Amino acid sequence: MHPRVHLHKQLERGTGWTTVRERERAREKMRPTPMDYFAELEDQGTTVAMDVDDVDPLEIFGGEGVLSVDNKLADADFFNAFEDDFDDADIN
Amino acid sequence: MGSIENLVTQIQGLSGSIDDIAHLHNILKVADESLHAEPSALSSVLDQVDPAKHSLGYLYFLEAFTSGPVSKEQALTLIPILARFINCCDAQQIRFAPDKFVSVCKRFKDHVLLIESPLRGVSPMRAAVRKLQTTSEHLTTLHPDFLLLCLLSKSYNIGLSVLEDDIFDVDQPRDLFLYCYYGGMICIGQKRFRKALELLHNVVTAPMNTINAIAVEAYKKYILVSLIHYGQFSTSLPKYASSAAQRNLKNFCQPYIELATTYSSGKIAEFKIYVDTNREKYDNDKNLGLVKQVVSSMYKHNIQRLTQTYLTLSLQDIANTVQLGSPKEAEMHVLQMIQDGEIFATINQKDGMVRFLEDPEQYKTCQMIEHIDSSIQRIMTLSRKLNAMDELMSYDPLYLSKVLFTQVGRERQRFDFDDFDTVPQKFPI
Repeated sequence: MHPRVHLHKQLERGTGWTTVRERERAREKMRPTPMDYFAELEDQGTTVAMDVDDVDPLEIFGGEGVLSVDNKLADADFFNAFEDDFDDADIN
Repeated sequence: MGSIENLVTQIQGLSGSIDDIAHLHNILKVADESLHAEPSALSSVLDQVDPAKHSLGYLYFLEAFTSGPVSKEQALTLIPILARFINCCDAQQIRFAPDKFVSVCKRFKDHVLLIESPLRGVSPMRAAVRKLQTTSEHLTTLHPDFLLLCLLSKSYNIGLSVLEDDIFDVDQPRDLFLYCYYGGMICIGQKRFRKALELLHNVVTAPMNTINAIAVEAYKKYILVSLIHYGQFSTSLPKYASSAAQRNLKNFCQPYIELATTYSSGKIAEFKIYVDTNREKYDNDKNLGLVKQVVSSMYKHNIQRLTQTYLTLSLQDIANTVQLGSPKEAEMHVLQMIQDGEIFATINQKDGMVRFLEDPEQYKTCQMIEHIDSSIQRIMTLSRKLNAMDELMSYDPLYLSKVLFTQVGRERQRFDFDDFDTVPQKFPI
């Protein structure tokens, strides 16, 4: 049996929970789609794709066009010795 | 000492008009080396100069006086002197010597960290940022230091005050990386997840020639905050992210990528097992607290999914579907989500039924119209700035030489150098 019909029958028997309403008629607005910054723009039907030139990205901040070894991390000495303060269980 | 006394006299006499201060600046630049030669002699001289009226002269004395390593006891003595100067100095005067002002402020920051009292540095550093900035759009090298002190002292609310400014002018790339990373953490602390994602996104997609450690840490937090806020995460980076980031970022963040993959199954028990297995890795990164928030968010997102299917549901059914221990637990979650505006629902205490409602926002209140209007204004301002930046870049020699090099490389079979017109320095208006 189709799930929606099954649920309607449940209502008739008075089990206490209702059917799935017809979304197309009842809802006048779309539920907002969470914006995922890192998704390909083509996947989001409600947005217009950014007009990005199809060229290699320019390495503006320094660099001679030759990429160095990928295992070395720049700015590896930056200060990051913070306490982990984001555990909600610590909040009284 | 005689020359220092002369210098004091000149400082006192030439701190009036802008022309006088410019002349004084030239004198101070010449005298700077001799000031550094005998820094200890300057302690008595500081009392003869007013930090508010004679800010530029005081700055030169203070910078020379505080150069060199200090002990904790010395730091305790220097901190009130530095804080007083930063708070009361004249912005116009110190902008004649921004490098010296930055040196003094960074030493101040180091001193408060040395005595393990970052809170004492928060207010003066905020004042320092505002005095060094030429406009509110200018990101100075002091911004990250200010945010660092806010994070260490857990003064998240104060840090937010500078994060509201839109930044268009950056001194150094590293400043931008740190500002956005620390700023993202400030926003996480205030549960402003959307703003946090925006800032962390900037770090990850910023131009970088080699993979940057700040970007790696930002990406880890980005993944976690994305799961907390949206309940989902995509590993694909936008086209404008650097090739270094595209190739390497994921390799440094594997435990987090796998966490996101496990999350996407929606199975809480399985997810919790994965978290427990890799607990130590997240703890070493100081991200375990955020990971725990990710676990809590799974219940929330599973409940949100229910609102898209049902009009009403019992607390027992919610508990069963979302794998909570009891209807009471389900009720606590639903209540919290209603309070946070994440769902719209009512709970009937008598029969334990939850009724899911539509978002009541009609987008026609005065407040909403004002909000939309200010967003439109902001976007229009942004559009004007982008057009101005685009025009500026279109005749930047460095940019043009790189584009030309790329074009010539691609079209060398078809065109000769003589085919390209000489590019003018600026387009005449």
